[in-house]
Parts: sequence; C-alpha cells; structure tokens
Amino acid sequence: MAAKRGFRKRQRRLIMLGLVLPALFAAVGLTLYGLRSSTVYFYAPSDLPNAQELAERTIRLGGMVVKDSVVQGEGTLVSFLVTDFEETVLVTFDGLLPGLFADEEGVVAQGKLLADGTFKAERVLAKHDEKYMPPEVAESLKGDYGEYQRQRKED
Amino acid sequence: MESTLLGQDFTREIAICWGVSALILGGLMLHAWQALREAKQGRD
Amino acid sequence: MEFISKLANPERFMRVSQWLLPIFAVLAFICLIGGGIWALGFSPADFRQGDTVKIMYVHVPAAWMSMATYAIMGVASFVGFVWRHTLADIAARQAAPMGFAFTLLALMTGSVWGQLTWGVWWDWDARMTSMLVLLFIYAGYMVIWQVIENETQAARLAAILCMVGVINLPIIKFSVDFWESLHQEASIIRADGPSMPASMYLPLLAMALGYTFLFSTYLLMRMRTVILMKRRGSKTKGRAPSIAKTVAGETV
Repeated sequence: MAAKRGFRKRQRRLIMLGLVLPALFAAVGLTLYGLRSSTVYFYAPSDLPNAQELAERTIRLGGMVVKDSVVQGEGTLVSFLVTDFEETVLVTFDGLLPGLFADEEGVVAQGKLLADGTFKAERVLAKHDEKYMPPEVAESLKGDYGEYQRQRKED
Repeated sequence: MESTLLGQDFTREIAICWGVSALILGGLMLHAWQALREAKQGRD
Repeated sequence: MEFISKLANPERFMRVSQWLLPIFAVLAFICLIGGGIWALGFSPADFRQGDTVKIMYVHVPAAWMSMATYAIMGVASFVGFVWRHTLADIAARQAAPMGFAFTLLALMTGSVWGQLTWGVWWDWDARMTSMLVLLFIYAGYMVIWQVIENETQAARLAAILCMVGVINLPIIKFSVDFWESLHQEASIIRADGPSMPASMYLPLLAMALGYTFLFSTYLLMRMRTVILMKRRGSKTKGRAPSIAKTVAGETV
C-alpha cells in the first residue's frame, strides 16, 4: 500500500518535471533567440546604423584591421580602417593599443559614431582567434603567410 | 604592425594564475581531507 | 536505473568509494604534476600570444570542469528530486563548492589572459556574462542549503534551482557561436578537429584529466565525510536527540 502510493507520487514528480522544465527551457531559448538582434555585442561595418539613429550612444564596432591602414598621429593618437570586406569605417583612437592589435587581425572598438561617418573609439580591444601554433610552425608558414591568412578568413 | 607577444616576459602573470589555482584547489582538498579524518576518528 | 539504485545504498557506496578514493587521488596527482611540468616546461609558446598561452593550461580545465560539475549536480538533483535518494542530494550539495571554485578560477585566469591579449580585464560579451551567471547560480545554490534549516525542504528547493540553471550550460557553450563575442570560439571540441598542435593539446588534456580526478577525489571525500557524520548522529540519537541534530546540522 505504502509502496504503491510512493510510486504514484514519484510518477507525479516525474510528469511535473517533464512538463515544467522543457517549457521553461523553451521559453528561455525563444527569449534569447528573440533578443539576439537587439543584444548585439558589436556591429560589423556594414550593419552599422547611421549616426542620427544612434544619437551619441556608445556602441562597439567589430571587424578586421585593413592592411597598412594604421597611421600614428601626435602622441598616442592613432587611426586605422576596420572592414568586414563589404564596408570600411575609419576609426580614430587616443590611447595605447593592446598587445595583439595588428593588421589583418580582428579588433573590437568601443566608442561613438560621428556624423561624418568616422568612429571615435574610447577603447580598442584586440580579438584573438581560436588558432594556436608554435612560432617555428608559423615561421615555416611565413612564405605562405598570405595563404595562411586567406585560409583563416575562409574558415 | 607588430602582432605578437613572443619574447615578452609574463612570468609574473603566469605564476599568479597557476599559483592561485593551486592555492584554491589545494585548499579545498586539504579542507575535505581534514574533515574526513576527523569524521573517521569521531566514529570510534 | 538498476545502477543508480545500487549506488544509492550508502553501505555499498562506502565500500566502493573506499577503494576508488585512493585510485582517483593518485591519478589526480600524476596527471597534475605530469601535466604541469609538460605545460610549463616543454609546451611551446604561441606565435602570437607568446608565453601567455601557458595560462590556458589552468584556464580551460577550470572552465570545462565548472560546466561538468554543474552537469553532474543537475543529474544528481534530478535523481534526488524524483526518487528522493538522499545520497544524490548529498552528492549535488557537496559538489557545489568545487564547482564554484572552478568557475571563479576560470573567470580570474581568463581575466589576466584577457588583459594581456585583448587589452581589457573584463568585457560584457556573451561568454563572460554567462560564466558570471554560472558563478551566481553556484552561490545561490549554496546559500539555499545554508539558509533553509529543514534539510528536506532545502534539498527540494536547491534541486529545483539547480535543474532550472542547467539551461545556462548550452548558453555558455554556444555563446561564442550564437552571438558575436570577444572570446574566441572553441579550439578543441570542434567539428573539424582541434585547431591546436598536439604539443599544446596533449598537456592541456593531461591537465583536464587531472582536474577531473581531483574533483572526483574531492567529491568522494566529502560524501564519505557526510555519511560518517550522519551515522554518528543517528548513533547518539537514542541518548540525546538534540545534540545529534546539532552535530548533523553543522557539519552535513
């Protein structure tokens, strides 16, 4: 008798979890999916809204630094081009660039889009990719470094 | 444009990361081991 | 199910864990010492990150284990909630401090690495934010056990929180693919194989195994301690129930 009641209670708990947990997970999943477009961590140059829309809001711009586009100005003033291979944005920054900042590497700049279409960064972050290798291997690839970079972009 | 941290000295940062990891995990293990020993002794 | 019921018998658990515990402890020791020497002494520097890549060998295992520990707690909470197995409740509760520590270490070591490579200690990208949420879930889980005095009630409530929090695990894992993020994508667990040479991922796997065995050792030690304390509590119960209750309440 007691065993039978225990069995029924356990079944009820299982059914309850079976209904509540998937519903909850689905709700969270759908919410996150819905939020995806409004919670952008950074904009690519071609997704960038125009300056009026942003109205002085601080945003992040992400992309790749264009080769040979880095220009050192007076003091720590620096400017460079950020591209997503569709559009390109000129970024100006007054400060120290991070250790891994480089041409043809990922970068995330935080700041404001000005009316003239340039981006004034308050903070510049270097993005690191998921590829790791020892320097000797990188050295041996150096002749094919362009090839390696192209491959990386395709990935 | 330089894009490598190769050749720079990060001994301090690496030591902090490994040291803190060892300290926290080691501390937890030691605490668990002591508690188990006390529980064993207390049984007699 | 048969397997779970068998392990759920505390007597059998004590017998099995008694010889499993030293094996896990020795394996953890070997993997961590070996992996540590391998990673710090012999693994190469990265062509861009330089020596900062050595932080990865403590960061990645901590991050993996923070999620693995939570997954184990989720399963234990489910078993404890549905079948009312006390042993499962004990396992879930005792795993939490280690999970909290793993999460904290992953955040801390990641922060040092981020400062050196990205140029910032912290940024609110999806991976970092979801890991911070995991830390808070661990904290909330432990607080529930501390605050609710009735152990049965605490077990139910903690189990519910833990099961609901499982939703955070896929969010953490896929945060770097689903959203644009500062944190890079997975290097080891990926469809086209590791994007890392063997000279780096082998010491990393040794460290990860070491962390896994360390956690197993910790969990078995804690569970054995709790069961021993409970036994002592029930032994004295006949004579002085109030004292037995305080002892169990304090240490369990």
